[in-house]
Amino acid sequence: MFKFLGDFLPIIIVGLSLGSLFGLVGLAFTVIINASQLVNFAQGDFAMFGVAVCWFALTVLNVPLWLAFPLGVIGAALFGLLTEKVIITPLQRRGARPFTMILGTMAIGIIAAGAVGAYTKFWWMKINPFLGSEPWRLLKLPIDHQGVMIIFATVVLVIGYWVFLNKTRLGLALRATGFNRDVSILLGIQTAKMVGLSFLISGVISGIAGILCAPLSAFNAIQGLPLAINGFIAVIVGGWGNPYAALLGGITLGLVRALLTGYLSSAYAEMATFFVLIIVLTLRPQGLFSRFMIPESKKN
Amino acid sequence: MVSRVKRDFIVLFVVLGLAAVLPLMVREIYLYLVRLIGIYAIMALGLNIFMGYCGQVNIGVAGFFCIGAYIPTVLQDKLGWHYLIAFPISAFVSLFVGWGMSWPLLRLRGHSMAIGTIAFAMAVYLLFERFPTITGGSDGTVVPAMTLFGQTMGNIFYYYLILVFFAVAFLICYFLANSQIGLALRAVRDNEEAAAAMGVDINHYKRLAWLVNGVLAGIAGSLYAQQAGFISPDTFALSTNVLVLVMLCVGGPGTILGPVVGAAIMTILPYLLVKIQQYTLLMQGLVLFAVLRFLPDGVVGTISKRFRST
Amino acid sequence: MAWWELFPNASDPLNLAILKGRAFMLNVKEISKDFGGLRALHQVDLVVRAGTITALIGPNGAGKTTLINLISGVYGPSEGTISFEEKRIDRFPPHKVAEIGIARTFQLTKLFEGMSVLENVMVGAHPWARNSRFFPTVLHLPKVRCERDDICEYAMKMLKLIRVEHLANAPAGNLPHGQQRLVELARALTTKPKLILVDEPAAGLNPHEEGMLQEALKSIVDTGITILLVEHHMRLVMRISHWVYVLDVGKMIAHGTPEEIGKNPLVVKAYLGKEY
Repeated sequence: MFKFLGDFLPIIIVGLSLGSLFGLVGLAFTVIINASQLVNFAQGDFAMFGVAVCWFALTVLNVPLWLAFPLGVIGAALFGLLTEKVIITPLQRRGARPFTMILGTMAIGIIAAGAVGAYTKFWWMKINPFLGSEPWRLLKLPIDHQGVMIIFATVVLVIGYWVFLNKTRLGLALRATGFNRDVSILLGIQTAKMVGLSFLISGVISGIAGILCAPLSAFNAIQGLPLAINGFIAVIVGGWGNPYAALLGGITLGLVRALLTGYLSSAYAEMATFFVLIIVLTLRPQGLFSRFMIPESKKN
Repeated sequence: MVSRVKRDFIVLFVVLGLAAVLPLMVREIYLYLVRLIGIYAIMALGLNIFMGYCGQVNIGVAGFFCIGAYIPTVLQDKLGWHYLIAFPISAFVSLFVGWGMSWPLLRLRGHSMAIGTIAFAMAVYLLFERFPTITGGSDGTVVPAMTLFGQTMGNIFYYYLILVFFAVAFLICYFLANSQIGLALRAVRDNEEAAAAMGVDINHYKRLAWLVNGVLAGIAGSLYAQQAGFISPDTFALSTNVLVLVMLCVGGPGTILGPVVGAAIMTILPYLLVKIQQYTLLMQGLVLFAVLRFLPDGVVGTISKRFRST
Repeated sequence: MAWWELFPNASDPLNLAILKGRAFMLNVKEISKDFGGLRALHQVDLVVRAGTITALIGPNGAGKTTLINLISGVYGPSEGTISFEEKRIDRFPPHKVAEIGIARTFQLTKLFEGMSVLENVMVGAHPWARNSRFFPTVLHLPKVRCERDDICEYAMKMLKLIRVEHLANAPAGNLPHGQQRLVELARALTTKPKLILVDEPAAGLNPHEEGMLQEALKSIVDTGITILLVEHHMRLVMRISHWVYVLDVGKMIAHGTPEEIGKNPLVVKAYLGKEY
């Protein structure tokens, strides 16, 4: 029994942490989708860039962690804002097709990956676990503290996001822009700034998620797009357009992967993501948690 | 309209003729580049039908490229079959896989379908990486040299083989684009609702474009593998998807020459501008960004629009 | 050969007796449509007789475009049936509806912006262009080339019928509004339809353009094609329709000849809000 817990608990923690990474990236996606119907293919690169800035601060500038972490998050947020300014707004002003917007975000992502890669020679950007390499012991069971931190941070982030969205005026303006852009403009909401805000928030969330998970799941320059794909899959599995569903979708994927890696082998774990996707698309295309936390009036 | 077709054919024959005599005139390094251009042009032509004409997004071309490269290699290596038999088989495999994937993919709306295509490419990559006993895994496999009438075929042979397939692919895409089918594809791109109201079966045409894309990419893969002599899954990773996409956007999506010109530019550019390999990804991103922002119709598209207005 | 000889079903001018003798072409029976909790149409009946211009009018939001979308297959009804020439079509997807002979235009014009006007109209040939399959096309067989020329010729004829043939090579995206509507009509005609659903064609047209539209619609019905005209503009409807249906808040409140409808107090009330 004890042995079982000893094996099972780390797997659960890894699953929840990895799942939180996917889920938070998926949530960040959904923020942008809800505000502007745009699908941001550079989402994973937001996280990667945050990790890159943090790593750079830590290893090259020798800045302590408590400073490097926020620097990384700010880096990711600024990158998000830059994406919006440099490609989204100009293309939208021109009336570009959605196809072009997708490629545009991809281009920004590739530039980031290429730039970071050129500097790091595409090698891993190693960040050490925040609290050292000795796991905590709870009744002699090893507990990965990084994983616990990730889970804790995810809960805080999601609650913070919910509070922002539902209890602040700015959050209300953001929601309004997402529901009906034209009416929002008429009501005096600066919708362009709202879209920029959604990119900023998305960058912050991705950055935090990335940096927290970097000690567990190593990042290199080209980790961005695979992460974005996993985030997307989390959104599809969870439920399109629902940020909390995306988070749950990601956690589901993370747990499935961790369980498969722990009890079978890691080779199956990555394929498993695609299997889950296909199963969900076939049996429940609207997503597993699509109704989660949707207020009553929308449920019909 | 008739004279335009005749003019296009004359241009094509001239270009093919020049290409045919090239090996007698230039060094091997240039022939290598032309071979690569031919291979990428075939892929870009296929992608153009799906993206440029049908208006869908495919970021997973490398999936078919990978299948097309590995199937003949494995068939030659493990079963001893000859390339000329393995090649058509691999084209059929691409067709079959493409047909199978089209059903779930077409159930996804717009953006999700784009994600689906890259998920497909990633799945293919993982599949070929995880079976080292058959595919050599991440270490790669040596592609058995092809023999014909007892002679081992060399680079010149592959050069002409690629040229022939390029010509065939070009003609197929040319006839497709300038036909009623081409009109139907563009209708799907421009306005699905109106296209359906005019009798165009949206899913049928999307599937058709996807299959053309997949089979051409598979053929390109088979040609690539054989002339390279060595393949590993890394060749078919993310960067290839991006590269072909950039080629199409630079050349001009929705034009017939665009993919060819784009393939030429993006194959030659790394060799001209950038000596250090680690900058290629950055360069590709910058080129894509510049094209999307400032030259949305690509090189060929912009030039032909200038001509039309004068 | 005069253009009216193209269409073998050319008919004589109609009067009421002949009208009543015409066969049912489109039969909409007890159609209801729900969108979530909202009932857009309730138990609607409508009949279109062959060779006529039948109008569907009603205030904004009455459900006219919903009904057109149901007929053309954009979505299916919640209740009721739709039949065309005795065959059930209510579950048909839009491209199948086009294949059996029902064409349509759109309230907000949906031209293919990446093509010229002629190419737009040529797309309309799709339901009957049977020779343009994949393999014959890529092999560039003569029958494919022949068919392409036929399609091109026919499309030009349709443009001439609507009197906009001078626009053939213009890019479709840059046309003024009124001309876009006429091109859409030409495109719908190219499908060789038996019935055209024309959705609010007069919206936003100036009087000159409205005159051209009226001539175009008359030309079309004179060639034997039936028209179901959805309109908000009473003037045009009264001038050219043979039979009028009035829809209000999802229900059919009246139908009859234009004169009868003009005098119907229910109709007046629906449009103007009080009895006159």
